[in-house]
Formats: sequence, structure tokens, C-alpha cells
Amino acid sequence: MRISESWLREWVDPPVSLEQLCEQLTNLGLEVERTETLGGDFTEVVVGEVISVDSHPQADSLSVCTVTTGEKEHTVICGAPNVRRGMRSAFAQIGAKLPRDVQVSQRSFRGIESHGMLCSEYELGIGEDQAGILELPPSSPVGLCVSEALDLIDNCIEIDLTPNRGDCFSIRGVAREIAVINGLSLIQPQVSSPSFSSEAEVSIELESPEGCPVYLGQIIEDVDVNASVPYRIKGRLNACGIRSVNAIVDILNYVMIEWGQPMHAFDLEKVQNGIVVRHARAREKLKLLDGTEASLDEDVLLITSDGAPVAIAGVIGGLESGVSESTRNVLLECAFFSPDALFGTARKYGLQTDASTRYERGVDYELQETALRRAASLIQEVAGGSVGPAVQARSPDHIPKSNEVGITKKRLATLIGEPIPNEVIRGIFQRLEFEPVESADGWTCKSPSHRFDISIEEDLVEEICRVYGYDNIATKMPSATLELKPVTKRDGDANDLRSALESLGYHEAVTYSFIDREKNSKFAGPNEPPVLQNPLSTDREVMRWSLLPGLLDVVSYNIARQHDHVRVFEYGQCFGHCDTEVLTRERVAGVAWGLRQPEGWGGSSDWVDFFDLKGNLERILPKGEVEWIQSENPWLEYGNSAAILVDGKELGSFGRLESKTQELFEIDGSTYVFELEAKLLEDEETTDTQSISTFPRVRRDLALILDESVSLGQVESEVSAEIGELLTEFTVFDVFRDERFGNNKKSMGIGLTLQDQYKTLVDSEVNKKIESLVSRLRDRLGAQLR
Amino acid sequence: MDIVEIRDLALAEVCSADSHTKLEEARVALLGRKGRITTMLRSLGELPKDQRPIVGAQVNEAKRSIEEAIAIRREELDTISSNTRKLDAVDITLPGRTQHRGSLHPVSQTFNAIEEIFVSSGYNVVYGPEIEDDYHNFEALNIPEHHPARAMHDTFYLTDGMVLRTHTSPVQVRTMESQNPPIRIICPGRVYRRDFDRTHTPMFHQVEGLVVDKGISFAELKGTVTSFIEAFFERKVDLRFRPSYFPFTEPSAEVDVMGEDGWSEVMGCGVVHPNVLSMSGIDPEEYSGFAFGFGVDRLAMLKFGVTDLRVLFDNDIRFLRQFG
Repeated sequence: MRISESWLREWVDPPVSLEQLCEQLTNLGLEVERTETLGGDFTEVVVGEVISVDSHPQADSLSVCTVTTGEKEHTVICGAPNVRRGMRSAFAQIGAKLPRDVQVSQRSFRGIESHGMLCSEYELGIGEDQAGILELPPSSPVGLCVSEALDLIDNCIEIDLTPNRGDCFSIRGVAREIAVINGLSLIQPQVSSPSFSSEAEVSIELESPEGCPVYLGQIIEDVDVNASVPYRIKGRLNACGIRSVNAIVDILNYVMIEWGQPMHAFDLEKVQNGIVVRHARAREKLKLLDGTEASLDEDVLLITSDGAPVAIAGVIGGLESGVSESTRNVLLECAFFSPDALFGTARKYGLQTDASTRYERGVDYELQETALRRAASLIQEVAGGSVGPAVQARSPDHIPKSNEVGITKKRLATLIGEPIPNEVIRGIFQRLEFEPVESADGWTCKSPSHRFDISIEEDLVEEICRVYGYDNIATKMPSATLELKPVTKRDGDANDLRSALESLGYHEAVTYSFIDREKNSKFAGPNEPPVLQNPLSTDREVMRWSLLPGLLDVVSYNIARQHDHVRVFEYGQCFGHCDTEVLTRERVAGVAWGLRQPEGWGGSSDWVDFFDLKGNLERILPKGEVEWIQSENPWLEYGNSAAILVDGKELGSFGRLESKTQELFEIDGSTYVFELEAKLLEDEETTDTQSISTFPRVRRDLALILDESVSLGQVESEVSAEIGELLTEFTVFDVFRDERFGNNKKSMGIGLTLQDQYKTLVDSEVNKKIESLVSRLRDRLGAQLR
Repeated sequence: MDIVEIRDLALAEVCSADSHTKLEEARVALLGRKGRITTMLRSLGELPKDQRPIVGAQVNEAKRSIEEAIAIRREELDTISSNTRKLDAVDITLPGRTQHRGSLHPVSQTFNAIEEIFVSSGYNVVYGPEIEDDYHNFEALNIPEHHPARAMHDTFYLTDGMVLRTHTSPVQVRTMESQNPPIRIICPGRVYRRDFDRTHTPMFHQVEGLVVDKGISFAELKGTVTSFIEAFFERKVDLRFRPSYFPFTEPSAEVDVMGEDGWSEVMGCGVVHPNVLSMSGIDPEEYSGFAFGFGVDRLAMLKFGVTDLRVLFDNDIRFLRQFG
């Protein structure tokens, strides 16, 4: 909310600077975001009187005028239709600077020199009107700086109001806070009554009194909607960020800013048969002031006349019933709509208005009569008209009541953390208009009609803290029993995993959890992703099933920036569905693309492959029985990928990215990826230590010639089946192909280390074992000794 | 040969030895058990009694100077051999033959730093799901459906009343539902709000903290927040507590730190609203608590001097590797 400093000071004027004033507001919880000095964004513009107007001999649309600034007369060419002799207007002298980077210099218009310029309010940056030059009151002193003549010098204070403080949505509300902190009283402006000169009345019926318990209507006939609004009002509205529309709307806005009471004006002709406030009926429609048509739901509160809606209560008026240039008679509406009845309406229709934000947060329910009187008399002053009596409809049972709230002194001191002197507390409550009653052990307060946020004892604690000053409250540390607990293991594991991947050369990335639907479905298969109802863009509308799409985008991004060695990983939550329930899993995934090692003098210049990735994964696997099996994942290249089972549970899979999937991410060159369930990576209990045999070890090497299709895994399981517990180590020392072995054959060199826990192995025993192993390998796998 | 000649010959032999092996051979030939000088010393007894002291002194003198010469020559040879060795010396400025190190994301590092501070003071770290139900994200935090505060959150909605959590507060609710006070926890994690500009990303990271016990006060909240900020920045920080509004705390405050460009907001906090306690099954008459929450990304930016928030999620390796 923007408010004008000079307007505020009219209500309360503490002897403090603007800066201190802002600090006071911020410390009260009305955060001042910034201030801005107003006063016309122009220089060298003074009040000038037009003393002669002649038409330009060469151009019909231009006039040649003489303008006096008191000291000097200037010949000025003017194109405005409203220029006339005797008028006072804003005269920009040669050298004047105007908004939008305009500098006034001597210029020739069709052969006649113009020594300055008469300005419209648009040209001065103080309004939107550019149809003609600014008309100043005849009393404006010639030669005076225009910003002074218009009383434009002011500061705008921009406050970020929290939703609980609807009471501060006005000059009056902010002034009340300043009065409280400075121990001053408010200077209420004199609200004079309009002179009643008409009997015209309108009937008002409250069909939905719980939503609208108070509705005042007042007719003003024969108003001049197009009357010019004094700059004092326009300037202040401008300072508060409100555009001038016409005399009626401007004054209603003025009263709203000043008092916090939103109001509406109808063209009387459209509501002659009276007002009914009720909820919408099914399929009712209303064309709104902003030109759109709203289809109304049944929970929307409406102002209707003759059975048809004319406004959405407290939000926006209808187009047809609104005040237009041709309106002569108006009906002013000044109502109290309950916050509950209105909440959600404005958001639902995307129509957050100055009125709706105030009503949603709560308008003072005792303010309507004063505000209406203020508006009617100002309208009469500015736009004339004969004012009829104010008609009221009230449903006392539905008008909010003042809350009585109590708190014990002990509780107050406990929650604050220290006792605050009683007289300080009393002073604060009194200045807040809480009508405090003190008893031996506590306080009882009443919430004033402008406060909707005082109903429980904590509300009183907050008020005391806020006005006493957060900075003045003690700073203490809580005391606690020093109980010792086991370390949260899970967290440690996640961090260990991250560090392990870091030391393997992977950079940790953080990617968005919402991703492109097509990319997601490549990895999720048939699993339906959770879908955002209101995504920021369509390529970020589903929740990721896998971390890989995000990481692959990162890889692509970095390849485009000429990296030849990309290793990235991410640890995070992934989502899908399990039946109809949302499924959340924590996963860790990584991508390796590019050279095996970053370019360097000692490294290899080979491309990364399956075994680089497998080597990395072996470093981070949990303890347990690990099995590597063919992966069936469609996003992995069959034959170059594997799934990992740990103790029979699928931990995840890895391998070369399938080429169609890779194309989707616009990556060239083999890309290796892995993705694992983070939960299963956590190590279970510490394993029991095995005692180490003290007897000698025996090593035997075998060079086997095998069919290509025989895997090491098969060989290993035959070996361990045959040799059993004696086998303490198993290594593969080479794998190669040679013509000598024939087509589709390979040689595999394996080393076996045997050791007995209880005795020294004798050669004959070992030889026997190896012999039967060789025949087993031959029988079962077709292995030949090389 | 007189003793002086013998000595000079020996010294010449020592000085001309061009390796440690040759020098050692010379030493053995002169001073070894059967060495020439040793033999001379041993045969002194055979000399007439009156000559013994004179010759003895001469031989001893010769022995000493030979020993000295050997020591000098040994050092010379050491120098020579180390100079020779330099021919196969390595270029110590070449990089080592290992894999390059990766890096941990600055946000992770900041999470770690924050968690360590709280864990060392007895707080537990608790996590929760990023897709939450409306109840835990809003209602249990005293934000009923028609509450203006919902507008402050710019929520991402899913179907069936689920949302992307707008804060990690639901984790606090889940903890209070399942655990009795005293509670001292922090809840780190990812959160989402529908907002995207230079200072807002639709996904960001938070740590929230909660303390519930008997007699917990606003003053203790101030103390905890102040000491955390000073522990995090490792220096004294000019702080300001300013009244604010959150539906789940009362009184509520926002905390600003003084930086080069004036005050800047780093966290929100407050005394837990009694409705929040009672909805989670904790009696607000018996217990009170405070809660605080802050954006980790912002703290990471301040800690590492990053000026544009969005850079954190570009994942450019040139940016990331600075954090290795």
C-alpha cells in the first residue's frame, strides 16, 4: 500500500523525520519497503497567465499566445483546444526539464518561434489527461513554481501490509499506529454533513445478512460527473498510486484511502427499483466494469436490482450499472461485507481490487455512516448535486461483536520471557483502544471494531511485544537437558554418499523437480506422474519419476559450453503413483559423458565406458550380496547395461543410454547413466568381523578358453560351488581374444587363492580340487584350458 | 718412506677417489684393520723406547688428517652424486595422476554447515515428503481454506488435495503428531512456490527449526536465532527483529541482517500459535514453543558471494567446480 506522508501527518504529526517515521512503522510490523519523493518530476515550470490568444496564420490547429510569468512576457505556440485568454496554466520555460526526458528549448512552429511551452497534466507527469493544457485555479500566484501551487511536494511511503492488519489499509489506520507509538491522539478531520436537498430514497433488502449485515445507500441527483477534481485530491490519490477517473470515483477512492472504507457508485437509473443483496443463483452472469463477463457460482455474494446482478459485492461493479460520463444521478453504496463471505471470490475471478483486499481483511464495522457522510459531502463540494437521506439496512445479529480477551500476568511474562511493568502494559492497551481492565493476576481487553485479529491471549502478547519493541525484549538461550542420542544415521549416509561421488569426480547438480512430460515418460514408462495443475510452463508440468532427465539436460547444457568431460550427480526425491496414492522415493543418479579422464598428460584419451561406471558404483555399493543382471529398462541399451541386486532387492540400474532417449536430450557421444534407490544404499548393521586364517595361502592360475557368451559371473559361481569355503580370493587377470582360439571365443585368466581356516593345505589336496574344477568348467561351460 | 711421504700419498689417494666405493676402498687400505696406518700404529711397539713418542705423534697426526680428508671427500662426493641425480628429477608442477575431484553443490554445503551447528547443540534433523497434503501444508498450520495467508504462498497444486509443499513446516507438524515434547528439531529440504524472477526461483531450499518445551518464550527465540546467525556467519552480526505475520506463529518476526546495502531479510520466526500445538495434540496450556525458518539458497549466496540466485540451478560445471 502506498500512502502520502503529508496526508498522514494531517491525522497525526509526531516531531520525527520521515526516516524515523518509517522506522517506527517497520518496528510496529508495518514494513516500509521504500519511500519516494513526489513533487513533480520537472523543473522550471511556473504558473503562467495567458494574456492573449491569436490563431496561427499558417496552421489552424495552433494558437499564438502571450504568457506572462509576472516578470516577463513570452510568445508561446500552443496546440491545445482549451487555451483561452485569462487562464492560468503550467508554463515550462526554456531550459525546463519534463518527465520522459523532455527538455524544453526554443522551437519554431511554422515560422513563429515559441519561447517555452504550456503543459498538460500528462506532460508534467501528474496525470493522464493530455486532451488540453492544465487549468490552474485563478487564484494561483503567477510565477510560483507549479509543484508548490499544486501542493505536489510530498513523500510516498510504500508499506508491505501483512494480511492480519486490514485495519491499517488506510491513512486513518496507519495514523492510529503512529499515534500509539508516539503517545499522541489522532486528529480526526472534520466530517461535515452534506446539505440534504432531496427526498430521493432507494429500498434496500438484505437477503444474505450473514455476508452483508450493514448496507447504506444514498442518492445524489444532478451531479456533474465530469467536474474537475481539485489537485489536492488528485495529487494525493496519485501519491497513493490511484489513477484519477472522474469526480465520483475519485472521491470514493479518496474516502477509501483515508478511512479504509471501500464504496461503490451506481448509475441510479439502473438500480431505481431498489437493491437486494443476495447470493448468486445458478448460471447467473454479469458483465464487469473491466469488460469481461463473469459466470457466477452460488457462493458469490451479489448486489442485485430488479432481479439481475449489478455488482459482485465488495469486489467489482457491473459495467452497465456503473457511473459513466452521462450519469446524472448516482446511488452511493457503503456497506460492511463479512471477510468470510468474500474470501476467495476475488481470487477465483482473478479480480483483486482495492475494495476486495480491504473487505477480505476486515473493514471497521462501525465506520459506514461516517464514511458515507464524508463521501456525500465531498461529492457535493466538488460535483454539486442534491443529496437525499442515507438509507440503512442492518442485521444486528450478523454484525461482528467485540471480543473480550483475557490473559494472566504470569502467562504474559512466560511467553515473552520476562515481566514487563504493569503501567507499560496498561498504556499500550489503552492507546490501542483495547479498554483494558486490570485485576490482581491479569488483564481483560476488548477488541475495537477496526481490529479483526484480537481473539486469543497470544494476540495480546503480540500487541505488547510489538508496541513495547522487539528490540527491547531480552535475548536469552533456552535451557535443555543434555540427553545423548544416537546420530541420525540416514543423514550421515546421504552425506557420505555425496562425498563418495564427489571424490569419484562427479559434480553435484540441483535440478528442478518438475520436468517435461515427454522426457519423464521415457523413464517412468506407464507410471502416471503427479501433474501440476498450475505449472509455470508446459515443459515443467509433471513431477519427475527419475533424476536422469534433469541431469541429462545439465549434461547437454555443459556440452554446449564445450566441456569434454562431464560427470554430474544428484540426490533427491522422485515421484510417481502407487495405485492412486502419490509415491515418493529418494534416489541418487549420475551421468558420465566424455573422456575417461579429463584431458591431461598422464591419462588415457579413451571415452568413458561401462566398466568405468561399474567401477564407480562398486565404490558406493552397500555391504551385502551383489548380483549384476541384464537390465530390461527401455532407456538403457540392451547388452550394455545392468540392474544391480543387493541381497535380492533391486538397487537400481546403469549402463549406456539408449540412443532414442539420448536424441531427446540432443546429446552426441555415448552417455553412461546410473540411478539407484537411496534407501537401499544405506548400510544395515555393522557386520561381524571374520577371524583371519593364520595358515598359508595357495594361489593357482587358470587360463580358460570360453565361448563369448559365457560370462565371468557364470565362471565365478562354478568356481565357488566347486571349491567352497576354501576360496578366499577370486580375480580375473586378463580377458582377450585371438584368432588361435577360433571365432566367438575368448581367453579369460583367473586367479584363485585358497586357504584353510584350520590347517595348512597340502598340494595334493589343492591339485585334486583344481582338477575337479577344470572338469566341472569343461562340462558345464565348455571351458578349455589354454 | 718417512711418515710425511706416506701421509701425502694417502691424502692424494683419498682426494682422487671418484666414488663412494673407491673412497671406502681407500679408507680400508689406510685405516682398516689391516690398513697401512693402522699397521704402523700397531708396530710402534717395535721401535726403540725413545723414538716411540715422536713417531707415535707423527703417525697419529697423519691418521687424523687422513680421517679429515676422507670426511671432506665424502661430502664432496655426496654433492656430486646429488647433482647427478637431478638429471632424472620430475617436474613437480605437473598435475598428479589421479581422477579430478568433483564438487558438492553450494546448497548442499550450506545445508551441511547449518545442520552441524544445530546438531552439535542437540537438535535432531528430520525430513519429509515434498508432495504434501493440504492438511499438513496449510490447515494444521492454522491456515484454513479461506485464509488470506494462502495468497502469500503462491502454491503449486496437484490433484486430490495434494500440493508441492510451500515450506518444510509440514515436517514439524508430522513430528509434533508423533513425538512428545521436549522437541528440538530442524527440517531441511526443498520447497516450492510459484514465482520466478531474479530473486525468486519456483523451487528453493529451506531449513525450519522447532523447539517445544515447558516455558519456551519469545526471548529464547531471539537468543537462538541470534546465536545461530552468528555461528553461521562466524562473526558478530547486526540483527533486527521486526514484527510480521505468519498464521502459525504469534508473535511473529522477520529477521534482517545489516549488509552493505542496508537491512536484508534472512528469516521468519515466532512463538508457535496455540492452534498449531493443539491440532497436533500438544497442550498449549502446558507447553509453548518457537519456530523459525529461512531460505538456504539466500544464505548460500551470502556465504559464497553469489549474486544471481538462478545461477545456483544452472549447474554449469565452471560454476560448480569452484565448490570442490
